[in-house]
Amino acid sequence: MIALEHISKRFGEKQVLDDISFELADGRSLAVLGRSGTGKSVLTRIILGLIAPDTGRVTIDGQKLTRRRRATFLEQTGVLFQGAALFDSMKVWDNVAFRLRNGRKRTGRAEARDRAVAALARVGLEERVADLYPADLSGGMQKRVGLARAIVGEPKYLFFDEPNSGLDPVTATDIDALIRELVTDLGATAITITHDMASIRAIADEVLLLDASRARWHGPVADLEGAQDELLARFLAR
Amino acid sequence: MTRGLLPLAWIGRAALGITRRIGSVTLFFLAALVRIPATVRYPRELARAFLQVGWLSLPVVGLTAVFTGAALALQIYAGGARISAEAVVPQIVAIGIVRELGPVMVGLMIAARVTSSIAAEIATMKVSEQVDALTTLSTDPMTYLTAPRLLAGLVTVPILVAIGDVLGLFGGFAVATGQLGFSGPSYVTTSWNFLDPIDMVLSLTKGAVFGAIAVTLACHAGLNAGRGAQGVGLATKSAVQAAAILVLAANVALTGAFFGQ
Repeated sequence: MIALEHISKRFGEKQVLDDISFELADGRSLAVLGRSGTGKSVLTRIILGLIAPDTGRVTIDGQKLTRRRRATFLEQTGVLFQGAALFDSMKVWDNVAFRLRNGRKRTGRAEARDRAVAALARVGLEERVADLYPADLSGGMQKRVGLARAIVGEPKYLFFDEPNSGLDPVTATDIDALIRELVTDLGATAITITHDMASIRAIADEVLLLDASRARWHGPVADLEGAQDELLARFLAR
Repeated sequence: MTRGLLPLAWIGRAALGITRRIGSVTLFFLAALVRIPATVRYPRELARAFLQVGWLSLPVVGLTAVFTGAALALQIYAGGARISAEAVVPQIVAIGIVRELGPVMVGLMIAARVTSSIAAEIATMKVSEQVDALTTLSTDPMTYLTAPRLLAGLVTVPILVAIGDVLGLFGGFAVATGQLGFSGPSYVTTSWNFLDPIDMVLSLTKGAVFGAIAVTLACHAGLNAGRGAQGVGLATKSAVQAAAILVLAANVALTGAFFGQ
């Protein structure tokens, strides 16, 4: 279980997150919703340990993330970044197999490539893509490669940062379906940052709405329609 | 605050900013240095760093050294002629190239070529979240990106300086024997006899220090780049400026340390 306890973060004069607390049970998929600049990305960066909070703490299965536990947590985590964040100097398969070849438990080149090709197939990409470079791919294909890189180690936790941004509606729908399928197959605990309601309905079990640096609403996707919240209603109306 | 104190406040802020940056870069250098042994885990990045810093710098370093040596020989001859001291060309070219111009020209070329390319590459990785991706893939960016480049700077720049010294001496030799009427064997013997081992030690030490400066500032600027294309541009510009100034300042300090009274 991932739990955040009274997390606050300020950048200079700007309070980005203010006293955020929530729990996410194992195997659940949470969508973090909110307008631009409400701290959605900062929240996930704090969970991943990329940014330290000013106050509060993150616990995984009830244990505070020390340096060693964070390393273990990251080994069990896959992340899809907003722009895919593929390493442009490496071929696609090298990108996907990066953790396998450079992590603590190293895999040989041949096995790493086989597993990378299998992960690419799982996200709907043919083997010929493996030997291309990221710059040769469309935005949608780069997202799929990013997904393959996130899932190749069979992670227990998955993070998706605006997985549909910059994609056409058809590709976006495909990526949503793929994410739901992968999260279900892996039984992973997932956190997705998005402001796309269609995406939330497709991939999330519960929703956390951030507004003015605070958690404004948190509940199951099924309760969205009946929620008495003006901002949520505006998101739903779109 | 009264208007008259504003310049003092500005000077104070600038001094604090510079001190903070020096501290930050020094800690960054030490953090990279202790990670060098761990770079054996990333042989591909090591090979890339040695190629980027060393091998690919060879043409520009070589040409710069040859032209500098040739120009120096012409200048010494012309200047020496005013006091009937044309014969000192081999000695002055030798000492000038090995102690000063060889390492400084290589240092400045490295600051221009290597610092800019490393800073721009890492800054681009930073703004496109590739550095964050490395962290989430259980890879320390300092060990993966900075330490191999620092090792390459420490090892290959002294080698480049040695090559630059030889080519600079050759440039002086070519002009002196081809245009100024010096005899080849006598020029070589005079140059060789005039140089002390301490001159070579100083030259190579300067190379290692300049390599460390160029690479450390590049990686520091890249990993601390701001957002977007402007962030990449600013990181690259500030790294190259700082590296060029620091190379020249370190040159004075090292020359003083070796030969100061």
